[in-house]
Amino acid sequence: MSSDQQLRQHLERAAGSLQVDTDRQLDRIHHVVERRGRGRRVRTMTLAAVIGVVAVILVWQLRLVDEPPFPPAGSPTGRVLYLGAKGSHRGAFGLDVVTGDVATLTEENASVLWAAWSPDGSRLAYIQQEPGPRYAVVIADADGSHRVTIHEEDDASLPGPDLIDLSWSPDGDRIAYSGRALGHGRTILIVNTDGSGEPIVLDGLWVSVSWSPDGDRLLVLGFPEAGAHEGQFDLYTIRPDGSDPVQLTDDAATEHEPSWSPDGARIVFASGEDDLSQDIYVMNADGSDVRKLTDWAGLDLLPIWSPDGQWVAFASDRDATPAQRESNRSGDAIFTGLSLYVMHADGSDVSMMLEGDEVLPVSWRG
Amino acid sequence: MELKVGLEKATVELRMDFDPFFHAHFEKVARAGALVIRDAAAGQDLAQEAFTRLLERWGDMASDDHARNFVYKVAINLARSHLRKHGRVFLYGLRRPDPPGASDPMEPSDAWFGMIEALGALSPRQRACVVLVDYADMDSAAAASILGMSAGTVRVHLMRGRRALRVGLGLDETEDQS
Repeated sequence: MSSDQQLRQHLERAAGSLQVDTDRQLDRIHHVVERRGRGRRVRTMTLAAVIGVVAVILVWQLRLVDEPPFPPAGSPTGRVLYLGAKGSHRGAFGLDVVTGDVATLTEENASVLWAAWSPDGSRLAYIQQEPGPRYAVVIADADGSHRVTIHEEDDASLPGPDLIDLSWSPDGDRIAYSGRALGHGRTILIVNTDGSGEPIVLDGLWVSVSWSPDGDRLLVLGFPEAGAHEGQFDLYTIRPDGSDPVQLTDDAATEHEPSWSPDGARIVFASGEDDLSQDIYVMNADGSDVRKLTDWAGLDLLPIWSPDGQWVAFASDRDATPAQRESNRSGDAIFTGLSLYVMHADGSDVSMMLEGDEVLPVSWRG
Repeated sequence: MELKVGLEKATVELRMDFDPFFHAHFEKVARAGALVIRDAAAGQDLAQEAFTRLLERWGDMASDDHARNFVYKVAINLARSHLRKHGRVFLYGLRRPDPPGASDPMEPSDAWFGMIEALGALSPRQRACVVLVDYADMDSAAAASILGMSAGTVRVHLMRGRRALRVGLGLDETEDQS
């Protein structure tokens, strides 16, 4: 008998000694699937009711009283869009949260600065650095095919290399992104996704943007006055034409990568004492009730909501090597040893979603 | 009424297809998961979650092989998350289940404890490779697809994992056969 056969026998004997109650497990699986399916149907019908029939909402809310919470623990779904590398290929990638399958969405070694799924998940938008230097806003199908450049800017209006963001309007007709406008400095630019017209340049010094789910406001980071002294930025909401700024935070810290929850009720962001020690926070959409979701001595970055608002994914160096963590802490290298994690929206039950050297989540759709 | 009857019929047909597959593979997946994470009860939990996700996507499965690869892939991903989350448990020693007769659904033996002690010398990736190939009877290519690594990398992990496991189990060292 070969040593490999001996090994197989040992494995079989050890594992075979475990008793598995298959009948009970099978019933439980059918029950759970039925329960989850029921939960999804309830959500869909509730959404339809919000749009059309208030009375139906009330009826369904009564029915929901005894329903189990949805989704159940341990089962986020959908696709996470992230920037990073797969082998030698760098760019934007789509992670199937259930299977762990990773799809390459951009051309080989495209220098992708930021990306986001469209609200319905059917398309992808990203900002790509091009030779020249030029920057392009590109729209593609969700699998990365049928790429169309809808807007290009030359050196005069570069998005800054450090602070980039991009967000679709809820109707999918426009994209807001952080960039630089000639004679204006850093701000938010809005372009039509069909490529028509000139970009709208907003007043103010803004470096990050998230479009509200109802389309009425933009969540932005910075100052309402262009040319203001750059220091610790605060969060504001403004109308999509740049008017009516409402300040949400007023503190010494900078609230990075803010993102509106799908129901518009909460805002998640990354912040910390300095840029080398960051945690994830959540607050109400009016800036009240700020709560810390993670507590890690290193980097917890780039929080994004799941489509159902039950989960938050983020990048962290908590499982990086000591050398990588030290590089991040000293500022020698930015974004090294970052893997992808997910947790409940209350900060509980953190677990790794995808291991990688540089996984930067930017968008999550169903 | 016709719609309801149709839905009930579809549910029964789905169950008829899924259930035989479940009976053919669940024990193996649960035990493979238990070996990878070295935890008998948690292995069954992750197998249950993997088969639950499989049933949710049962209509997308083109063949038994497709379904088998899917369920192992989900189970391995869940195992990775479990190891990350509960890593400290393994730093402080093996988690022993309740005594026989208690509620633990999987009742380990001395052979099991000997095996998980020996598996402790392998890295999680080596363990996954050895379990998929030597316990779940997959070839290197199938294991590579599930683990998201090249077949060559799987063979390297396999060779090193087998060597460490033989040492841990006190088996004779001979040349690898694969």
